[in-house]
Amino acid sequence: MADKLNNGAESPDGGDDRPDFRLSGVSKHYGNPERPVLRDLNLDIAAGERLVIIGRSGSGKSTLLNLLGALDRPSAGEIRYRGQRLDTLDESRLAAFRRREIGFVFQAFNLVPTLTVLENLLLPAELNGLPRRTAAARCQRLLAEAGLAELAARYPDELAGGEQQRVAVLRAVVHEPSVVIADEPTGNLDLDNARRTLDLLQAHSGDRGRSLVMATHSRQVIGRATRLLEIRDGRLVPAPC
Amino acid sequence: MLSRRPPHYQAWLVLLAGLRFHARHPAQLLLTIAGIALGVAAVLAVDLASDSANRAFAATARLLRGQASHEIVRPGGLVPEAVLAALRREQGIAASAGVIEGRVRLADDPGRAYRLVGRDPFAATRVGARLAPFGDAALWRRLLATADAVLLPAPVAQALALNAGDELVLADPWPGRRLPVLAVIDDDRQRLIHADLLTARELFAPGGGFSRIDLRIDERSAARLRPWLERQGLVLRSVPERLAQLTGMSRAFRVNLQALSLLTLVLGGFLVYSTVAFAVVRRREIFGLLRGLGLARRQLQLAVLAETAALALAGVALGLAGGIVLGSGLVRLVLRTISDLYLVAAVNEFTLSVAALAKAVMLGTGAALAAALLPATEAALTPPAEAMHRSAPLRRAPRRYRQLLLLALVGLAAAAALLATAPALPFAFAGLFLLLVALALAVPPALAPMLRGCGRLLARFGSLTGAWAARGAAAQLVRTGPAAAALMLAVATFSGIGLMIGSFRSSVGIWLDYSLDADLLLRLPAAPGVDEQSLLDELRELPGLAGWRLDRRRPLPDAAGLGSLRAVRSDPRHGRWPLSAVPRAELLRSLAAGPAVIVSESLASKRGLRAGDRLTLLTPSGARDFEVLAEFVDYSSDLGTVAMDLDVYRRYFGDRALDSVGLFARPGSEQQLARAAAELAARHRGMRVISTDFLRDISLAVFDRTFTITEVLRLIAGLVAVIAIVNALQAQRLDSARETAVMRALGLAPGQLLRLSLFQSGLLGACSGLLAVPVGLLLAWLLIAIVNRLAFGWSMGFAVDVGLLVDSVLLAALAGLLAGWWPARQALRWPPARGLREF
Repeated sequence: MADKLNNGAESPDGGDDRPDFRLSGVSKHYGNPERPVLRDLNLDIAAGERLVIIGRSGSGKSTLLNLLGALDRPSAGEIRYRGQRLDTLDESRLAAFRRREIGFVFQAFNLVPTLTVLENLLLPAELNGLPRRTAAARCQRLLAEAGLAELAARYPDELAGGEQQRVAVLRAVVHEPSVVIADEPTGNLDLDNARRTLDLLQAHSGDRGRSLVMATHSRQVIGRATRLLEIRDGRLVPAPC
Repeated sequence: MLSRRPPHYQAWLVLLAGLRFHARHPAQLLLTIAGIALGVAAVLAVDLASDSANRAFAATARLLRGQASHEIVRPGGLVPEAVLAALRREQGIAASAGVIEGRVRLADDPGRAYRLVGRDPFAATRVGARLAPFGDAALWRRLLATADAVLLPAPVAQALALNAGDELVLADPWPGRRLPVLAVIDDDRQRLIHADLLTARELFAPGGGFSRIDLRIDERSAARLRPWLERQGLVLRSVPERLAQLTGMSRAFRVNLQALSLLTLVLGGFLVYSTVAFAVVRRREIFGLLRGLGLARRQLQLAVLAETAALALAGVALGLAGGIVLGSGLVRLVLRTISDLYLVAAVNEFTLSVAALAKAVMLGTGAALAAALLPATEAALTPPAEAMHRSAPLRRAPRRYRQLLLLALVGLAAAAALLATAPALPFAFAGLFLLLVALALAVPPALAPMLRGCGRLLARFGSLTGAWAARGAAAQLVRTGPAAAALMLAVATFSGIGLMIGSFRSSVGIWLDYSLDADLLLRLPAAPGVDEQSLLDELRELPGLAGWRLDRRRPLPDAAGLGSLRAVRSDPRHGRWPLSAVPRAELLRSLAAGPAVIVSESLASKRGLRAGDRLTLLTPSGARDFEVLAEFVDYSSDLGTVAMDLDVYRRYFGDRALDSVGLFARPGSEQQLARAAAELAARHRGMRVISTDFLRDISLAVFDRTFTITEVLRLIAGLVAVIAIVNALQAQRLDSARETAVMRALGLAPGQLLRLSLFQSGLLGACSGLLAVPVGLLLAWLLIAIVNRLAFGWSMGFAVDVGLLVDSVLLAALAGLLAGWWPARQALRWPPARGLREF
């Protein structure tokens, strides 16, 4: 894993017997240690798993996803990805980890408004050093499979919300990450668009041996879970599927 | 029923919230205050310098005037002493006093000329010359009783480190002569020495006579006196008329200073606008929220204005302190310049003008409030729901750009009309400022396609992250536009003024090359006089001499007595005049035939003279018309110069004195001639040999000092550039915080982000710098072709210094890079999660 983060090569010991993520005693607070958002979490996430996190607003769902995606650091405890500690890596290595291993889908889509749909998809590929021609072909294929090929030259603000989120899903998987993290992916969508987005997410994640971790309030999303956890008072508790 | 008037405390809370917001962002608060302070400091400093120039000119007027109403002079010579007696006896004019004055150089300070004025103190009181400030009557009595004694004004004594009881040692005239300092007197003038008539007579008029006779008479008496004086070859000049001309001459200098101050204000205004606008823009969402909670538009506007006023007061206070420090330095520069150019500096101290302080306070707060008004109104008029979306203004960009372009076009048309028809300097300046403001308005609409074009090129041939950076810069222009405009304006000022100075310096260099074409200059003493024939005989014996030129310079003998007359005779073997406009042999022949003159551009411009016109000069035999044959370039003074052939001069003025002789060496014999000339000078008392290279260096040093104040303004422009771009990038970082966080979530490494941020800021700086190139060229051309022509009557070549233009673009890019470093480091300090959460 360390080699992969350092050099971009697959680690020889990155075996499948270990979980993708292992969180041990993870806590997180913002400013006041007396009021942590997450307390002493312990969690394993297996490869290919579709884990859904639920909880009340402000319960810490997004915080947990940010920690998993290395967008933030825990206040205490350790986070391992395939055996490698993440919380001790410097920012450059964390960036490399995010670039290669993680695909993000946000509630607010967060497409880059000054890049076209195709360019948004090319962006992770470019950051990962894929040749432009290869990357473009892959992006075009993904867009065609998702029925979005005709939108390739458009800018995000010319798309409907559902279209933007499906493009965001494609951007999250275009570089074939090991884990896709989706924070309220259907929070801004109607039922039909939510279903199509989840279909696309499912098609590009769990079904292909890729882990998918989602935070949500939506029953539709909960229905796609292979495991469901709830955050209650800063702690993870199992929830019935 | 709901009251339409919300409670007052709401606005106070908004104001409090605003001030707390600033307190929580101290770096940006400092930046805003620094922007205001810099603008105020620059305006105050230039104003204080301008004030000191005005006081210098006013004191000069006092020096010239005393309280005399008229003066009698004899063109080409001294006024006979008998005239004074006749005036009193025959004409019954008791209020008359003879004055003998001349320039001296001192052994301790040979580089400067001092004015030694000899008076009969008791006669002087009759014409109203104020004695009181110069000491009491008892002191003057002692002065009369002590041979060669002088009184020194305090600034002169201080500059020369002399006290009562010390001695002045003359270098010219009468080298080595010692003048005891009787007392240091309470007089605020510089480069002035008081003496009694006897001492001055021994120095300047050993044969008797006065430099002038001061009178206090009414116009009726003047009319009666005039024919009586003319019959004796004397001229009666009205002092107020002469002063009016001097005031006119100095006005251009003062207007130029004022223009610099206004230009600083425009720059400062843009800077203040961009900083204040940024401070408002970053709280758009908060304002939207407050509006959503029921805050009235007017309350929001007032709160923003009140908050801006608080910031402005802090900035103004800081600016006043900075302006006083900067101003004291500028005052020294300006007085030195006046002293160099007009030889009449009369004040030295730095005085804090209440008017200048009040103006700086009003302009600082006024500019800040005006700058805040637009974003405050925009914040108040924006529907709350829209205000809560950060991207809303970006969507309105095309419409805003069209409005800006339209405004810019209207401004350009008005500026062009003003500049094309400017009858006087203030109109030209008004046109120039209008033009700069109009061009600044056009910056955001012009930058947007440039940056988008870069983005397209990068997307196709470079990297998508680069394209993202370029397009991001384009998209944010609706926010960063004012700062980019300030940057463009600052860089254009930097390059435009630089080009103007460079062109001017290049023209002065060329002018010095032909006006100082001799190898050596033999400066002849005013006294004791040198016999011309024996001097020429000695010159002929000098080894290595190819030729010489005789030169006589004196104040212009006309009603005003300002400007100078130069009479030149070329050595027949050399045949050249030191004036570029006279290359033609027939013109030289016409000048030699006389009565004809050529006039400097500045004189022609001020008096509306053209070839073929007639110029009236006062000769000992009365007023004479001289035909103007041509104009010539002369940067030695904006007071104007008239040149004529030496023989014609002697024929009409009867003055056989000489001031200098230019010596031309044969090729390869320069050293030999220099040695021989030095030996010749050593044989004559008061004669000096000066290398023309030395004079050239001195002249260019004076030129450079003249423009030091302008260089200071350029420095301020550079500072404005940096602060403007820092502001722009702060705004940009804020607006793109979420995008940046997304990019980091996608895996953009810290190094990549830093490079992209620097690329983005450098690109914005470089594009603004590129836009500043044509604006700088235009500014330089207008300053050269219109402003200087109207102010001084000088024409000059337009030398385009490509290096300077490249430097300007690099400066802008560098300012961008430097300014981008800090926001980029700031952005990296935050975890990406914070960017996603908070923006």
